[in-house]
Amino acid sequence: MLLAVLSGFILAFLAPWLTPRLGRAVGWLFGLLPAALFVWFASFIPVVASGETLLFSYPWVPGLDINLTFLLDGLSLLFALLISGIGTFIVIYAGYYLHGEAYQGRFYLLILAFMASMLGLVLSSNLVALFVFWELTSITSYLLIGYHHEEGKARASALQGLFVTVAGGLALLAGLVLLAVAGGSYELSELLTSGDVVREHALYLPLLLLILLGTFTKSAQFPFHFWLPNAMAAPTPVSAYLHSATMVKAGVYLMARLNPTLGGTETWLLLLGLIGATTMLIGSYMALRSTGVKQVLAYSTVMALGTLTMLIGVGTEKAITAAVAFLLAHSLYKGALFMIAGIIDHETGIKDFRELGGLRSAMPLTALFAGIAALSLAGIAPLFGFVAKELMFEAVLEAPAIGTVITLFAVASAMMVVAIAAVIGLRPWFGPRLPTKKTPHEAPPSLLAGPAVLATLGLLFGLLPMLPGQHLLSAAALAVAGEPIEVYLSLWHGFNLPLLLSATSLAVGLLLYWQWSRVQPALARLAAWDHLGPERGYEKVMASIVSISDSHTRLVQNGYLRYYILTIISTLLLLLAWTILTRYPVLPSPDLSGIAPHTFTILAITALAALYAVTTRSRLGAVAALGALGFGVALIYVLFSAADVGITQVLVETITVIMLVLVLFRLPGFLDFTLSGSRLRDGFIAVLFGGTITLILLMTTEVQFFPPISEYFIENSGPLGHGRNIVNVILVDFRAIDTLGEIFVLALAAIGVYAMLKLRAEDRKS
Amino acid sequence: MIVLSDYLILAAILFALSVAGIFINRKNVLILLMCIELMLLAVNINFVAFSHFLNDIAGQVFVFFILTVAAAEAAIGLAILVVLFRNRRTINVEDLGSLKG
Amino acid sequence: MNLPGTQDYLAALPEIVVATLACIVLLIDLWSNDRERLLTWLATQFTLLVGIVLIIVQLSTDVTYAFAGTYVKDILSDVLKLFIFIGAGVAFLYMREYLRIHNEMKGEYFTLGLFAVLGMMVLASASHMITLYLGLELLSLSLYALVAMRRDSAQSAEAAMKYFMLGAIASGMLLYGMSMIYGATGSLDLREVADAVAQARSDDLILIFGLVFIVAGIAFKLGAVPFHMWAPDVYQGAPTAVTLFLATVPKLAAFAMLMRLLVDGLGPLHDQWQGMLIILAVLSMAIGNLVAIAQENIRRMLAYSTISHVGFLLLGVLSGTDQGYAAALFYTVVYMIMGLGAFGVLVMLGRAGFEADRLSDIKGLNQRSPWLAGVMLVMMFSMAGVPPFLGFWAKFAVLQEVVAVGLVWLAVAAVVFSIIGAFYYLRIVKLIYFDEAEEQAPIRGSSPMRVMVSSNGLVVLLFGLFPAPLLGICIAVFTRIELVIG
Repeated sequence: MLLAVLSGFILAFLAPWLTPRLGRAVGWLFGLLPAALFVWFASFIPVVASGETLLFSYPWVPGLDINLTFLLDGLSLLFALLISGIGTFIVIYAGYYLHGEAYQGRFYLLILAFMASMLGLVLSSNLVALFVFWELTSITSYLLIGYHHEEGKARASALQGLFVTVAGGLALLAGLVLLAVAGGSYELSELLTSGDVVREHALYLPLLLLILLGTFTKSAQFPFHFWLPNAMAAPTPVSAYLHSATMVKAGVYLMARLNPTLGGTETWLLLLGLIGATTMLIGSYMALRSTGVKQVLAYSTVMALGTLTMLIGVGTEKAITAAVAFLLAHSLYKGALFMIAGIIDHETGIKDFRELGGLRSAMPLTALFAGIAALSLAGIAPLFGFVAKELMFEAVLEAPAIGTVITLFAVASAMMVVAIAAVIGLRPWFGPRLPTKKTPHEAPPSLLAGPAVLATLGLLFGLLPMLPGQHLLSAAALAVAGEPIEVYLSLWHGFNLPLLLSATSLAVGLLLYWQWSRVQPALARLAAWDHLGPERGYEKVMASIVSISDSHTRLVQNGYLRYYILTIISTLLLLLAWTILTRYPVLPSPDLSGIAPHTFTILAITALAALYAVTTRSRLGAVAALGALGFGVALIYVLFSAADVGITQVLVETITVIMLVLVLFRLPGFLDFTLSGSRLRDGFIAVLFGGTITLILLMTTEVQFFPPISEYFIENSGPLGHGRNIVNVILVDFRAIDTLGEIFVLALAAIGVYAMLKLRAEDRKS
Repeated sequence: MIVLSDYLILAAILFALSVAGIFINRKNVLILLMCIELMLLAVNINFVAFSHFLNDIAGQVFVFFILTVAAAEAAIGLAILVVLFRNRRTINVEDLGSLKG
Repeated sequence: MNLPGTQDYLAALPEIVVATLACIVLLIDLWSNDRERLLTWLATQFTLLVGIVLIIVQLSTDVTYAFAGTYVKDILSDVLKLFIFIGAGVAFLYMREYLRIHNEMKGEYFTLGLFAVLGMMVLASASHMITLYLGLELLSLSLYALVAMRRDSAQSAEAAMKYFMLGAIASGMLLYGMSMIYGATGSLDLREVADAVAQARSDDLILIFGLVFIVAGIAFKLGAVPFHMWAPDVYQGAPTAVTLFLATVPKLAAFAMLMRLLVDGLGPLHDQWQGMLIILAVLSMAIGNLVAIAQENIRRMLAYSTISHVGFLLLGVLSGTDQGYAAALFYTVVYMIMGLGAFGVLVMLGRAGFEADRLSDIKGLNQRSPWLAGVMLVMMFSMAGVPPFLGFWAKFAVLQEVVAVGLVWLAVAAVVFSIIGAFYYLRIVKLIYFDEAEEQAPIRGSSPMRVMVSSNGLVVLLFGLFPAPLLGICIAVFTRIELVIG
């Protein structure tokens, strides 16, 4: 199993090297790998269909209790088959489509790596591994969208698409971590059985919202649907693979996967049901409005994703059956249609439906397969799309609580989808032949293989719906529901309400198509209202973040040191004041009676000197005051019988003063630029700060200190160090190494000073 | 008799004064340097006072270290000041604003 | 009280040897006439190598206190020093390339760098406030001087002045806090401090105020909001070679300082400092990520990015569990690796007299050098926390620990800010891959440099795929240390 997932990566890294060496056959040869994977996965169908779940575990990050565990049940098998199956055709298709492009090797690297990540995503049982693969698909898809980076459109959309999905991905990460907390495990296999615990957990709502944020962005649900059509700047094989069959369905996959754990609540039903239905409606409306071939397909994909989300949200037996059937049907026809869109572009050079017509005679086979796939999209018997649509109508009709609303949405959407399908399936092929940039020819086998097989399968499954239904889809539905459900698919359900709805939507849809050349421009005029839409919302949010960022920068990071200091001091002040106010509301009253007059005088002089040093306008005055201050401090040391420290202080003070004076001679005089207002503000903060500090210290008088810890030095300096001056003994004896260090520092400083002086002398010489 | 808190208060006042000096001052980087020295002195007073009242010599030893390090710090500070003055022909705090954003 | 013996010197052997060799390097540089300073550089790297060997030889989970309890050799200090040596070695390699490109080769860059490394080592092994202060100052003073090394640049001088001023104020605050802790506990030895704090009343006022000052001091050294303002100016003003050094390796030392002071010393006050760290962490992540968006200068952008990473690092520490500390250590190491890589790419883009640090300078890098573009891509994705790169695991580990102690809202906030942060990292990727190159000059670079930058990118990718070994080391450090502390 590990090999199955990793083989894609291995071939991917070989691809840039192999591609130029394989020439024209590259697509067919690379296609062997996904084909082999498809066959291999297909061999599991009997086992999985019997209801078994296979687990494969490999150690990965033991420190965080993360193993690379793969889970193979109906759902993951269905996805794995779609990924490898459609992947085979895409790889073959790209071999011809991109032949001769400079970066074909890199393209294969990315698309194979993408395929492998996608397989990893749907097979992972460990949430963290799943997330890793999830983000890998984002990165590789991003680089694939940017493949044609000459196009300006690709540039603009690349950042948007990536940001939306990566941002959603990070939200998903938070959601998954919370899910693991709530469910007590990172393993899906365990979480699937602990749904009741998770749903009752206090974190249920936040984790649900975060996870849905991730899945909605990935699967282009409203209001994040805007990135998907913008990502259509990618080369067609990429769109066909990522944006129809695989990557965008990753979100759907995760929702389906977590349905047993998270689903079944009212929140789940409302969120998924309503948002899914809204997405479905908006997708089909936007598709009807657009004229670009790939735009139409992209929006109809949005529609399909909305439908799937809605069905998972509804979560009834019917709905789940409908969801897995619709998933399969959509992958088949949408993959085919995207590849056909690529063929049209490749053969005619035209990307707009309005400029296409009458191609039937030039490329009959393509037209045929396009027609079949479009029929499936429209949901017309006897295609598999019809089976899925009937099930969908049945499901929404009996949906709890929101049934009426979503049925209305579904019917409205279905009408538009019929029209879209007609636009795709009829317009380019019939009617008068319109002029094209290139003379169109029938597509070669490598391009046609995909659409042919996929469209034919759609027809085959439609005629024999129990062929996929019996084994694969029933196992998938079992996995989604978390309990056995009966899957019964058939082409003919008798005359009932769903059939009536289908017929109505078919009629209205054809009417819409008949008037398409009027309806489409009318709808396009509504684009003026788009500024209320989420895409502009995204732009506005981004713009406002940037402007917040700008204004903060101007305000705080203005380059002036004093404001930096001001901020730091104010913060400290705030922290201190907060501590005082929350803990000690009673202010102390100090007892000053015990201070001896001479001490008080020294203290006063010292403080005054400090004040003078700060306020004076004369440099020398400041230095002198600072000197006085230093000597005052030295005196205090002496008062406390720390004469040695006092002497040191005097020495340091003297040196400092001399150094300062030396430097001062070289400096210009004081200038005064300050406004009195800012001076006042600064003074205020300064006084506040001083006051706070004083307050703190006054409070400390009430604190009991610990008893003396050690008299060791006093006792032992005589007997051990043979000296009477304790400090001296400490310095040269007990802590001689420290003293050595000090001397070392001083020596270094001296060397520095010497170097500076020497430098100066040299400067003067030169 | 002078009690511990007197020294602590002195140190606190010095500390506050130095902080005030640091950002009331607009004119001259040199004064900032002096204020920083002042700040360290305030700390030293704290240490010596505590050391005395706790009867523990370690505090005074720390003071020695602070004094030496302060000297080294002053040396570096002045060196940077000289470099700044050579390039800018000013040591005005107001003029230190070319790096921002 | 015992005089220092062989045991003590053995425990501090790496520091002693590095100090001695650093002085020898200083002398070598003084008498070397080589314009390329090859000998100085080799001697510097040799010193680091000797350090690594000494650490590995003595590597053990035993805890040894030396020099009357002022110095500790435990597994945390050993591992930190190892990472410091490795990080510094890579940084010096990039530094040399930069100096060569810009014709500014001076031996002092390396000797000062070595002294900074020594300072960091002392910090990592400090178990006494004096030791800690000395290590910190040795580190800081070396860094101030490094920033000011380009003597003819007004920008560098201004950056150095700001760095020095704010750094000195922060030291002052830290010291003031230490003096209060000293007063309240009667000791400077962090072990004794911890004992005294555990017995003291939890609302001892002096202790709390001391703690506030100490947290402020540490926050400055880390560059956490609102003590961060020096970082962008210094990152931009200093020569890139210096920026890449001071932005990366010293964060390990800052982490050591956090662990030694707050955990080893003031651990019993965890409830008090947790609140403060939460504020710092949230502010750092918010401001760092938000403001980075507005930056046009990549070095400034990386400065804000660093600030936000510091926020994440603090998240790990404030959880207050051994797993949390391990996650924070892991985050710090990962950040160092990513930072080195990103700055390494910037160094390679520059040429004589031209620092490639505007956003427009990296436009279309993919066209000029797909390989360098790939490395930058890896770094940016990793910093944004996107798997399968190393940065993801760092963020993940930290988030998990924060959730584990019940601070769910904090984890969610962290994710929200990461999302905002992803925007500017991804913008860089977009510029590299989607925009037209404005600059067309070919990218040169010596082969050691190319190899180093490539392996830097590869490390981020490979450890991203297999994070177990690196994470395992970080976890081992704290699961074993607990036996001793607890």
